[in-house]
Amino acid sequence: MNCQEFHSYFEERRERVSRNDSAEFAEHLAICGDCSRWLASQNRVRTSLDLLRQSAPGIPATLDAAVLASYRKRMGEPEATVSVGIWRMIFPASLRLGLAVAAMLLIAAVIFALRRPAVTTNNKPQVQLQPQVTTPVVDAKAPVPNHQNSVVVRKAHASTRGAPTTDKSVGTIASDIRGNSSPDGFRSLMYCDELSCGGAMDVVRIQLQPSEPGLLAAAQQSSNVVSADVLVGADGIARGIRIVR
Amino acid sequence: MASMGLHEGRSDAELLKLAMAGEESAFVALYERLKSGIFRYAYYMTSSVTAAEEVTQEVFMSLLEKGSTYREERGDVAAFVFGIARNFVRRVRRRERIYWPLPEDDAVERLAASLILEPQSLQRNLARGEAVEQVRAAIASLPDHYAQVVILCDFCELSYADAAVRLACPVGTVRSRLNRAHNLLARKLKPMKSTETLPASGTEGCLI
Repeated sequence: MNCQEFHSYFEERRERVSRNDSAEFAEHLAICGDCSRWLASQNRVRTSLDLLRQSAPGIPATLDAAVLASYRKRMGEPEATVSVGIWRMIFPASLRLGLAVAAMLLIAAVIFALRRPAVTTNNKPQVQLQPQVTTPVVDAKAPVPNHQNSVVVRKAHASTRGAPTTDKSVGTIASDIRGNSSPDGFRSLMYCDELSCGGAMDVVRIQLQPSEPGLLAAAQQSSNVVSADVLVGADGIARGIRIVR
Repeated sequence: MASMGLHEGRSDAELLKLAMAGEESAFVALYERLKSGIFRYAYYMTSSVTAAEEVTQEVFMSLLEKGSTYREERGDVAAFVFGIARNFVRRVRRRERIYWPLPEDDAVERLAASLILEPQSLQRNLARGEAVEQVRAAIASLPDHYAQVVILCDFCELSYADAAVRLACPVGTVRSRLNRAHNLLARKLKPMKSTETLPASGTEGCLI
């Protein structure tokens, strides 16, 4: 017997091994000090394991009763168990995960869709409230009208949007002031073409301050009242103006 | 729980099916067959009777829940149950890692009773208790795959083949792991005084 065979023999035996197990075994131990020491250490381990095994407690008597009570309790609630089992059969784990992800995406989409109009609604008034840049030039020879006049024009424009005022709205005319050709004596305030002056326009009558330079003569002729018709496009921007004496 | 005879010829798989269908006697028979192995495994892995009780109870309740996933061609019911027990033991060990273990509830009473009956055995009991703790600590310090093999083969007394089935590895692996585990234990365990050689002189020697 060599050392390898000796080790194999020992591993096969589950119980404690002694020198007297076989003559071959004893013979090898007599000549091999390493195996002799190894056997002693292994036997010591087996003795220690036996000691621990003997010190192990028995199964507590209360365990049987507790397990049985749990079983009875579980079997007393068959509906919950069955329903869970059915759901698991119908929806396997992968499908359940997919459904959960889809539900989350759906919720996210709904939240996004609900929030979107609110944002545009908030933006709308800002767009509408942006002041229209209009330059109420009354006469080409006359100097640029002061701030007060432009305010009047803006008020007239506001009246066309819904808040009626006394004598501002006069009528509606078709647009034909393209290419700076003024209809019915209107003086163009901006360049007009197909894009910028398309569609019908409103004519708004406004009153101007007679003290404005250039309007003094007209005011004297018409008892201190100078009116003007302003041609306003559908976008609220003044396109032309004419003085009404 | 005397329903073993009723289901004597039935396999574990049949008992499991019947137990899941609500037949209490089948459940009891299956429990009687498997409880000892599970309890012992859990006890040696956790070193606590309370934890072993908890694990055993949880394993059987979990078996009823997961029993429908059991496939006979993949192994016997005992191996399936062992897999569940292993997971529960891992969970308990993770949970209990932060606590320092207290002695079992009745340990002090048992010691007191043995001292009353055999006053001379105090020194022997102490030495024995110390040796047991030393072995327990040595096993607990082993890597998990070595500790599993030691507990299954040395304490649960399973054959190499059964242990291989439980651990889902070849028989040769079980054998070599056990051998390495024993070598590690031999190095960890200091040569202990044999409890037989200790003097049985009682307490008077300590009072001088």
